[in-house]
Amino acid sequence: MAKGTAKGKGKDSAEGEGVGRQTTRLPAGRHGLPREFILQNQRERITTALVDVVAERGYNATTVANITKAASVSRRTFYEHFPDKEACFLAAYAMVSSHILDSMQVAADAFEAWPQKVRAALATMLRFLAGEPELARVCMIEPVAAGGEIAARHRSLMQSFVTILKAGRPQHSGKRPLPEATEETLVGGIISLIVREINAGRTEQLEKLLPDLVELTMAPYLGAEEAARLARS
Amino acid sequence: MPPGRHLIPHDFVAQNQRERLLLATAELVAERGYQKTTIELIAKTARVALVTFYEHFKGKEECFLAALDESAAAAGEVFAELVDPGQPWQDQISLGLEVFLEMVEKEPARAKLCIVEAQAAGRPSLARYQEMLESVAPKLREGRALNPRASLMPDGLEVAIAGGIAWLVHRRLLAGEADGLKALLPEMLQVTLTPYLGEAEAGRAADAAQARVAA
Amino acid sequence: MRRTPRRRGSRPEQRERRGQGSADVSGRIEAGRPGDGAPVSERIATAVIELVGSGGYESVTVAAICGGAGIDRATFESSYDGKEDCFLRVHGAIADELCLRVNAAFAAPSSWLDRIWAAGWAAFGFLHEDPLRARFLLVEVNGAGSRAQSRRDRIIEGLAELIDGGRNELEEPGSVSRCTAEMVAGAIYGTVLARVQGGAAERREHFLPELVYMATMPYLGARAAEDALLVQPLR
Repeated sequence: MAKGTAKGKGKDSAEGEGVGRQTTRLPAGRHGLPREFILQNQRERITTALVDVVAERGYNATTVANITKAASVSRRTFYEHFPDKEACFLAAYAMVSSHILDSMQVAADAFEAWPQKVRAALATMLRFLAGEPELARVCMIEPVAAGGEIAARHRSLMQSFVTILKAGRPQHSGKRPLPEATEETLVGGIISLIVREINAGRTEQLEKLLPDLVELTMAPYLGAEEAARLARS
Repeated sequence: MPPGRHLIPHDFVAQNQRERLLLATAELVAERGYQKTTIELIAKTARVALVTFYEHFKGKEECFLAALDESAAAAGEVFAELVDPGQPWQDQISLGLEVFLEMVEKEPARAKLCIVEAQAAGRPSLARYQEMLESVAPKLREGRALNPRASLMPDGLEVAIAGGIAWLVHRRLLAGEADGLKALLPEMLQVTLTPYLGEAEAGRAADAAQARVAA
Repeated sequence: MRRTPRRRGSRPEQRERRGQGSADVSGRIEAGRPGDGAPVSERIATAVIELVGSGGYESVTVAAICGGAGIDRATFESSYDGKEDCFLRVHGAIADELCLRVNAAFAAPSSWLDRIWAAGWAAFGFLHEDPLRARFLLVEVNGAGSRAQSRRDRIIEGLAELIDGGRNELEEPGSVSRCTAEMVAGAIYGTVLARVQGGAAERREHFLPELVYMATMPYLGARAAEDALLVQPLR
């Protein structure tokens, strides 16, 4: 299935406001629309535009002017919503990451057992990133380069996956206790593989990683054999 | 009151009776708990006839709730009077907390009523207690404007902080240690302000409060 | 007054209860509704939890408990000293089980932060497993007399003890007193109470991240505490 990435191709995303590409510009002049609606619409346009521009130029090269032009808002409007480029990026990042995490949760809900939940969540994440290569770059690559608050937030979010995985530990007490750094290593490995694929321009094939990732992630908990079974089923 | 001509208007008498009943309720409940406080005892302590009690209140619960409401209103007035909304937020919180602890120290029976007994006197009373915690939230919430990462903060944080403060006071009231409460101000302030200002700034405010309390 | 931290696992009410027979409610979960074959104590516990849940502590009568448990009055009276005693024992058994699970989870990891998370997961698992029991444990205790209130207070103190361990994470552990842990424990308990009251256990809501945020704020600082909020648990 062909997945367009350029702006304006209008991928619809019923679930996420602001994640899709087509957001309408309000006609100029007095519209009689409630202020909240206008603000929301502008905010969405700005964050969507930021994603597009950063995907194209990289965060550091992106300027507020680039963003306002892409969003068709005035500079003043931009500053009504965000104090600076960084805050705008953080808002976009928060929005996209919430969207992905919510989708992962929905997918996990379909299963009772922890290993299946983890697999479903991983599959959803890979599918999302594969279907949105621009967002994948903006969320997984750019934050590290951006440094500062953005990189810190990104690290925290990646770290949160460690915490989520750790929650499964009590259910899988093997013959000997797992090393403390197990989840840290697993998450680090998963992210590293994903980043490698994105950098190599193979974002759209990310889902191919799933079986290996599932097997590696679940092996410490289920044992090699069962993890392999889960991965290939 | 003796029969015949009355110089004092009935309203005044009624008001006075009501106040005495509420005061008696506060004292008795603080002393022996809600369950063990009876209407007879309240009336007796207030030096009011049993029949008169029922002129003012339908029952024990209604009387107790009135006592709660009246205490909350009185406290609200004190805050409004002493805390200046024009001051920087953290100074308002610092002063507000100090005023609160002082009120508890000065009137432990009333404090016990609102903080301890309110939770044990039935569902409407528990609801009032929750409302009291929630009434503090808007002022605390103003602090979010000072945190650049305020969007992350959980919705229920302010009510939780109020509950934490209430719990500390609750413990001390039960242990009969209301006197030492003001000494806890700096630490309570540190915990309260950290989510909004960060630990360094909160620490400074706590140190300033420490100096005030020690003086 | 300087308070020295008590050692974990030595709470007096834990010790005293080990000697008594107590209603075992853990079997309820696997068995579903206990049938005639379930032990008396279990059936009584179930009856108490359901009766209190539907009408509040005040409304419950010994007769209703006996009816619900399918036993006669004499049987009840041979084990319990009345409604309050029965309530306290049932409540105590549930509280013990929760504490057992939380303490076990707390013991495993090596970092304090991981211990807090582990304890939290254990507590949430317990709450979600049986929402009626959760409600009984937390909400109904408020209207059930002063001994029940004391029980509730001890639960919060136990929580404070877990949290107080965070002091070792500070550069100067002495800069903060037990008071901080108590305040945070009160805040957390109040939050859980309000949410369970509002049906969070039935809806299997996960708000552990905000609780960890509150627990860690005074010891790890605001930035680190905020990291907890980014965690979205896989339910």
